[in-house]
Amino acid sequence: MLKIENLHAILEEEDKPILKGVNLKVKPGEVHAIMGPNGSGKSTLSYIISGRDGYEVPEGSITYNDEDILELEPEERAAMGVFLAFQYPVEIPGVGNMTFLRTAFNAIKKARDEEEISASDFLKLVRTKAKELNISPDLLKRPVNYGFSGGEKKRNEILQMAVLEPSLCVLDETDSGLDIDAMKQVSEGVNALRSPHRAIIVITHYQRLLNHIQPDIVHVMVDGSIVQSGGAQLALDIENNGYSNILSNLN
Amino acid sequence: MLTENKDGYNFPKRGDEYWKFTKPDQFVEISKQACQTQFHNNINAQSPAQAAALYNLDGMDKIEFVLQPNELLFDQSDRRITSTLELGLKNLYQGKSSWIDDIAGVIENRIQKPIPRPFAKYCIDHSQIGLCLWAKGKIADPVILSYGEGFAGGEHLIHNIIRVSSGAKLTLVEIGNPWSGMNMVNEVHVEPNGEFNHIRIAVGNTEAQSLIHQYAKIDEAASLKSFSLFGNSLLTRNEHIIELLGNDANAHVSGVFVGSGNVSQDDTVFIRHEGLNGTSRQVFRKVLNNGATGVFQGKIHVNPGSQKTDGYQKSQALLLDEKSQFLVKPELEIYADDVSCSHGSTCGSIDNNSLYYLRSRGISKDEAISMLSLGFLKEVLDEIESEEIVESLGELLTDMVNNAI
Repeated sequence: MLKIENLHAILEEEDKPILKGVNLKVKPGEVHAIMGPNGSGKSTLSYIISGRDGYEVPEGSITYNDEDILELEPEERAAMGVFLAFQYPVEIPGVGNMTFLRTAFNAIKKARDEEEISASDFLKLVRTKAKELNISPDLLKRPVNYGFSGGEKKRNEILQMAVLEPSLCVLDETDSGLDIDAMKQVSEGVNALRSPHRAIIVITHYQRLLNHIQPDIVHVMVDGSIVQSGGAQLALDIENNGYSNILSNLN
Repeated sequence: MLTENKDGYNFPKRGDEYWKFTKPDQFVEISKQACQTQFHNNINAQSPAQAAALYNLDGMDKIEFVLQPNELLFDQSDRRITSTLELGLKNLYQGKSSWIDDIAGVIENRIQKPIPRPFAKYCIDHSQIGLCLWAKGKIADPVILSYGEGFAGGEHLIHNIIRVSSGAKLTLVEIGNPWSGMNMVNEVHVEPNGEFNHIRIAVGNTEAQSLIHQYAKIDEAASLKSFSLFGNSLLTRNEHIIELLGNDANAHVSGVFVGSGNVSQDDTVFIRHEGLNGTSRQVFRKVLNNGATGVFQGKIHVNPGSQKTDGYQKSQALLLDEKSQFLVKPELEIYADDVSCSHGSTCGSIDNNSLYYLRSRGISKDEAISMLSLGFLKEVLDEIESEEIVESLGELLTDMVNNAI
C-alpha cells in the first residue's frame, strides 16, 4: 500500500537535511507506530507523505497504491485516501467547521468522479459520525478549531478522519496535550476506524498511547532514518529504558 | 455638466493631508472623464447570483425606492407619508419650510472644520436628486434605496437627507453599482435614543469613479451602525464623518472591499467624540488581488472633557499577490485623560499553514484561498445588526471573492 524507499528530505528554508534515507512498508489493515527522540524527523516524514510545501526531496521515493505521489499536490493525495491528523490543528476563524467538512468531502468525491452529497444528507452523515465518536455537535457549529481546547482539536481531527474515510491515516503526536480521558476517547475513535482496508501510522513519543491503539509494528526513528523495527514489545522497552540503549548501539 | 461651477471650491490637491493615497484630481475632472466613460462591465461581468442577491434580498419584507439619474420611476418611488415614516424626493421638499432645513447643508457645514470637504459642499450646492427620509417611530422593515443601473456619462450629484427621531429606529439599505461620476452625500441626524442602521452594497464591476460621503450627528444615547460592501469599481472614495454629540452615543462603522486588478477603494473615517461615555468602532477588511489598491484613513478624535470614551479602530487587508497594496493612516487624537482608545492595522498574505491544512483535506488551492479570504471578511459581517441581511450577503460575498481569485 505505502512504500517509502531511501527517502531524503531537506528543509528548504534552512537548507537542513532532516530525513536521511527512510525505508518503510505499510500494508492495508496494519497499524504502525513510529517513535523517536525529539528532532528525529517523525513529523517531517508525515509532512512529506501528505505533501507539505517547503521541503526538497533530493533522493528516494514514496509510492502509494503503486503510484508515485511525491509530485502530487496535497489535495490530490487526499483524494487518493491519504490523511494526516495534525499535531497542531490549525485554527481558521471565519470558516465554519461544517462548511469546511462538506467542502472537503465533496472535493474528494469530485476528484474521484463520484456524486457529491447535498447539504442535508451531509448533515445527517456528520451527525451520525459525531455521535458514534461521542463528539459534541456544538463543535460543528463553530469555526474550524477556533477557540477549541486541545482535546477538542484532536477530536475534530478524528471526526474529519471518520467523515473523509481515508485509506491511510497518519496521526502525528495525536496524544500530545491530551489528558488521560481525552487520550482514551481519541484512541477509541481511531480504533473504530481500524479496518482490513485501512492502514494507520501513529507517530508518538510515548508508549502510553500504544496501550490504547495496539500497533502491529513499532519503528524507532533516529536522526532522519528508521534504525530499529519490532513488535509492540519494542515500545515497552523504550518506555522502560528510554532511547539510550538504541542510541548507544548505534554509536 | 457643471464643470464651470467648480471654480472657487478650492478642491484638494495631490498630497493634501487626506488625499495622499487617492488622487483627488480624478474627481475634480470627473465630468470630463465621466462623459467618455461608459458602463463597460468589462473588468468582470456581474454574475446572475450577484444580481439576484442585490435586488431580491431573499424575499425580505421591505420598502423600496428607486433613484434614476434622469427619470423617476414613480410606480416604485412615490412619496409616502405614514405615521412612522416620511419618504420622498428632495425636490418635493426644496424651497418649502420643512424638517429638512435643520439638516440639509447644516451637518455638512459643521464638518467643514477643521478640514474642508469641498467635494461634499459642491455636491450639496448642486445636487440634482436625492431622497428625504424621516423615521418617526420604530420601522421594522428595511427601507431599500436602489440606484438604477446602466447609466453612462455626466456627473451625478445625489444628496440624501435622513432624520431619525427620538426613540425611532430605521434600517436603510442602499444598493446599486456606483454610477460614473457619482458624488453623493448622506446627511444624517439621529436624535436622542434613536437608532440608525445603514448598509451600503455597491459591488458592480464597473469603470466608475465615485465619491460617497456620509456625515452624521448622533445625539444622546443614540446610535449609528453603518456597513459598506464595495466591489470591483475603478475608484471609490467612501468617507464618513460622525459626530457623537450627546452622552452615551454610539457609532459603528465597518466595511468590506474585494478588489482585483486596476481598482482602488478608499475608506476615510473620522469619528469625533464630544459627549461623555461615547463608544465607537471602526472595523474594515479588504481582500486585494492582481494589483488592487485598498486605502484606509481612520481617526478617533476625543474632545477635552469627553471622558469615559471607548474608541476602537481596526483595519486589515489580505494581499493575494505581490502587486496589491494596502495604504493606511490610523490616527488617534485625544484631548481627554480618562478614555480607552485603540487602533490597529495589519496586512498580510494567506497563511500557509491554513492553506496546507485545507488542501490536506482535499480542497483545491483556489478553493482554499477563497475559503480563507471569505473567512477573513465574514468576521466584519458580525458588525451588521440584521441577521437577515447578513444571510442575504453570504452568496454575494462568495461570488465576489471567487471572481477576484
